[in-house]
Formats: sequence, C-alpha cells, structure tokens
Amino acid sequence: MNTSCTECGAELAVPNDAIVGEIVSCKDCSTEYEVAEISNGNVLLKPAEQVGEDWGE
Amino acid sequence: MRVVVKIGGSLMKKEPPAGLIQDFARLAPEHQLILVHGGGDVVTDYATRLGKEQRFVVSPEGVRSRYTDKDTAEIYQMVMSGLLAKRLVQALGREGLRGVSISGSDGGLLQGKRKSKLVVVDERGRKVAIEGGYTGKVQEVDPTLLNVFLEKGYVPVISPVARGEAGEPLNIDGDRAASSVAAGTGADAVIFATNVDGLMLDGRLAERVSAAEASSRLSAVGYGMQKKVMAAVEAVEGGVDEAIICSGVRESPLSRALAHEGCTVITP
Repeated sequence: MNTSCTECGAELAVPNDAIVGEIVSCKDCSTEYEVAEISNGNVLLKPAEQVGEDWGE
Repeated sequence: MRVVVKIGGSLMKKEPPAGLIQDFARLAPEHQLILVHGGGDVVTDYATRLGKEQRFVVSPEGVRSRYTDKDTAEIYQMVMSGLLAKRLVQALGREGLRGVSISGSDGGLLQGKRKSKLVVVDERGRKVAIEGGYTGKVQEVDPTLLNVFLEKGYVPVISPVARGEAGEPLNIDGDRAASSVAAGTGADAVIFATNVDGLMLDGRLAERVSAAEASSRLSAVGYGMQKKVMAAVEAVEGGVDEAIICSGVRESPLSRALAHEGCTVITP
C-alpha cells in the first residue's frame, strides 16, 4: 500500500500486512506516521505522537 | 546529608537483606534517609496467582516494561504499597527505626502524567502505537509530607506509584521514582542498591562515570541496568551530587557506597 509523505512528498511504502497503530516512517525525511485506518486496500495515516520513555516497573 | 536509598526489586523477593537494613540503621542518626523500593517480580508473582498474566513490552530503544492496564495497576498498587512497603517498615522497626510507608499518591508527593500512547516493538519486529495504560512520567514533586516525616524522625518508605492528573495510580519505575524523589527533595546522593556491584562497561566495573558517558553507553547494558543508569543520570541532571549503583547484598552496602568502594558513582 503506497501513499505520500506529507512533509517531503516522497513515496511512503506501507507494508501490505500493516495493522492499525503501526508506525511507519518516511525513508527520505524520517517523519513518522501512525496507521489510523485500513480500508479496501487503502491506508490512512496520521502523524505519530512523540512518546518518550518512562513506562513503569 | 540527605540520601535516598532505592532497594531494588531483586532484593525484595523475600525479606529485605538484613545487612542492608542494619547498615541503613547505622547511618540513620547521621543522615536524613529516605527509602524507595522496587519489586516488579513480586508484582508479577501475585498477578499470576490472581490469574492476571502480565504482559511485557519493549520500546524501540530496547527498554522493557510491564504493560499496566487497569487490573494490573490495581494489583501493582496492592503489592507495592501494601505488601512490599510494609515489609520494609517492619524490617526498619526491627532495627529500632520508625518507618512510615507512603506512595507518590500521598500528599501529592509524586504527580505524574499518564502516557496516552506507548510505542512498542511487536512480535513482527515492527513499531506499533498502543494505548498507554497506567504508566506515566513524574511531572512534579511536592516534598512537604516527606519533610514533615523527616523532621519528626520518621523514615519515609516510598512505593513507586504516582498520582495521575485524574487522581489515578500510575506505575512509575522504581529507579526513576527514586531519582524524582532525590532531585525533587534536594538530596545530596541517591543510592541504587541491587544484586550486582554496579555498571559494567567493557567487561569491568565502571567506578566513576560522568552522566554524559553513562547515557552514551546505554545500548551496551541490559534491561534492568538501563533503567538504573537512566534514573541515575536524571538524578544528577536534576541536581543530585552523585548517583551510586551498588550491590545491596555485600557487607555494609550503603556505607561502602557512600565511601565509593566497589561500586559505580555517576556524577555531573
């Protein structure tokens, strides 16, 4: 499933077996996206939230 | 000196090591001591006994942590603030010390922000964003309650639970709870007592390391030590003069740590 990076316009290849929530990144500018929805072979991406460490015991 | 001592989970599986508590008691008249504890393995044990298998996730940076859903958060709080904290209070009592156990939820001591999302590496080796659960990062430390206890001669024993913005309990890593308490209460030193001598780098015990070097070598250390080093660096960056990683099972572990004998001392 292919789409485009909204930052740099490069082609963004999303694996065919991607799942909702998966993080994909642009190979050219490294911007990260989260798979928001997959429907009929089309993928909708949203900007990935920046999440730091600190996960507890 | 005000010293925060963190007793690692590896030392909490049964009663805390008598030698460590006795050394703690020897130091108590001369220093203001605060105890923070871990105990993740005990949480896992009791969760399993209650039929709640624990899930562990790994971040893209290789940090392994417990996924804390609501049920797990309840068990976590029960074991940490109930069982393990009271074991320590009782152990201190046997040495004539007046321990009092609290968590970060008490008196607003540790206020945190719940993480809305976590990014983990799944079984396919790919990064996935999941619901954050009940873990978080300490945002603010209010030392008022601790100072009241210390002024009255009590030894605070702190469980690694923070209070979230909605009042919910948050699983915060014990090592980083210790660093937050140390930095937030103006401690001079924080000691991470565990089951190894310290940070091993290049096959040897690193006895004196700057915070910068320690941070740069994180990828070379295992899960448990990673969190200790991260916490130690945070403490030092937060104003604590030194963060010490030492064995808690050797003789006079805390006195020797403060004397910088056979341990790792991380400084600015």
